[in-house]
Amino acid sequence: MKKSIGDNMFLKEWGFDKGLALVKKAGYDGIELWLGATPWFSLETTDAQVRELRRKVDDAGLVVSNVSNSLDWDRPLSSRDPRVRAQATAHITRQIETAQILGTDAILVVAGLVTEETPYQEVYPRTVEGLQKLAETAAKARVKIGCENCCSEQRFLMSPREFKLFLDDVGSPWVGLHLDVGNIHDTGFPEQWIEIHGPRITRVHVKDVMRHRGRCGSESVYTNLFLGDNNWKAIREAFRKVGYDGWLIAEMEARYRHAQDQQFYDTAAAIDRFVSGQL
Amino acid sequence: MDLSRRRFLGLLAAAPLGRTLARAQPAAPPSGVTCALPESRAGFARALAGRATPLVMAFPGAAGWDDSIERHVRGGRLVIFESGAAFGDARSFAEQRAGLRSAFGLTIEEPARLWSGSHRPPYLDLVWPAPARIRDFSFAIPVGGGEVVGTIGRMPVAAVRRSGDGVFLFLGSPIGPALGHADPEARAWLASLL
Repeated sequence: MKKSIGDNMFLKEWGFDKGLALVKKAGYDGIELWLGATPWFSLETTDAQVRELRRKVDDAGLVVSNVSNSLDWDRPLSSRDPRVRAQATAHITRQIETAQILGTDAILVVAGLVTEETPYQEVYPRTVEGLQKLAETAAKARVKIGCENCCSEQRFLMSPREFKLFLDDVGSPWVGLHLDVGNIHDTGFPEQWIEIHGPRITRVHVKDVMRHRGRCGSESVYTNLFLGDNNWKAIREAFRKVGYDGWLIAEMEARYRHAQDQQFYDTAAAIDRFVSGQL
Repeated sequence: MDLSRRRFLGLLAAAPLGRTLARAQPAAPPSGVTCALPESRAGFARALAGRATPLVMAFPGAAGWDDSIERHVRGGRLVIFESGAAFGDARSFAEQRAGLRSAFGLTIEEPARLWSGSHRPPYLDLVWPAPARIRDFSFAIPVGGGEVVGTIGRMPVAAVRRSGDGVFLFLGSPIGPALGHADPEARAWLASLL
């Protein structure tokens, strides 16, 4: 397995270059680039500028593990407004384009957002339809769309079986699951998601979760690896069972308040322990 | 209201069968109206597939206006005009507002954003030709004039006007998406209309 971490964890004052140097020094193999979350990678970033980002990644001795986006929450593919859906299609298409330029074969999307206003029965078919169209673009680019399981935040596709039926309905080998083992909270067990989805897993986000501290929102339930309630031994065994040998991407939503660079080292060391099986 | 369901069904009884609503529309549909909600158009088409409705014209998610609509109503058609003005541009809204006032004496207000601020029961309540509760669709166009047949809370958003031998039904809260998502109450309401 290979280690990666998101560039959205870089402090503003570090910038892209210093952040990359830290990622390399901390022992990661790759970097996850977040479209729309940083000043250096937005919808306005040109192809030439994206190529320059890639050059910097290459020069740092890293590769791009995947391209994620932070735009789906405000511009969901499941919006009632067709204009917003068009925006979502556009930014996901741009993700696919930039993934090609950056030399990676996977993107992350948050597909479908159930709200009080936009009910589940509308979100489901719209999201399936939107992804079916995007799958054609993804297939041509040979880039896989990984739909992240943001279960509680999305209020959508809460169980692994439900997610499987959803992917069946989308019906494309170019659309799979970007599994976040920290997002399942108290509604299930990541190791069971792994077993059910196996080859459909495009990438994996790692973080730990504390089930006893509520769910989401201002009171974070997320924590560093091994501090929470995830059963990391079971998760590791499940990965072995389904043969997942891909990227493990740290998504540390709970950040260190001091010595923020230390979190990069600590997380890398924890992932190494996980991969080695010394748990 | 003065249009009974019996009278209305009588009006439609002579309709030849075997064509879908979409096919029943004139070969050259009114060109001034566009659809701002393709999802609504798909919902209507799905709900009306196989139904014989040549005397019915539907404008799902309609943006803009076309003066020929009044002529179709006077000629004996039921025109279901589902406004999609909230999802169109300002110009098409202005055209629609002027057309509705001129043709049917209906006044519409700027789209009301239903989900800003306090929570509200998210339903459009229709009372004619059959009662139905259908989920709102984020924006609604308040309507004045005519006979109110639908409200969201206290806001009138659906109204009927008779003109000549026909009927004009204005829907300020789109129901097409609910039709497309197989909301049984929405489909039953549409069936009651036909």
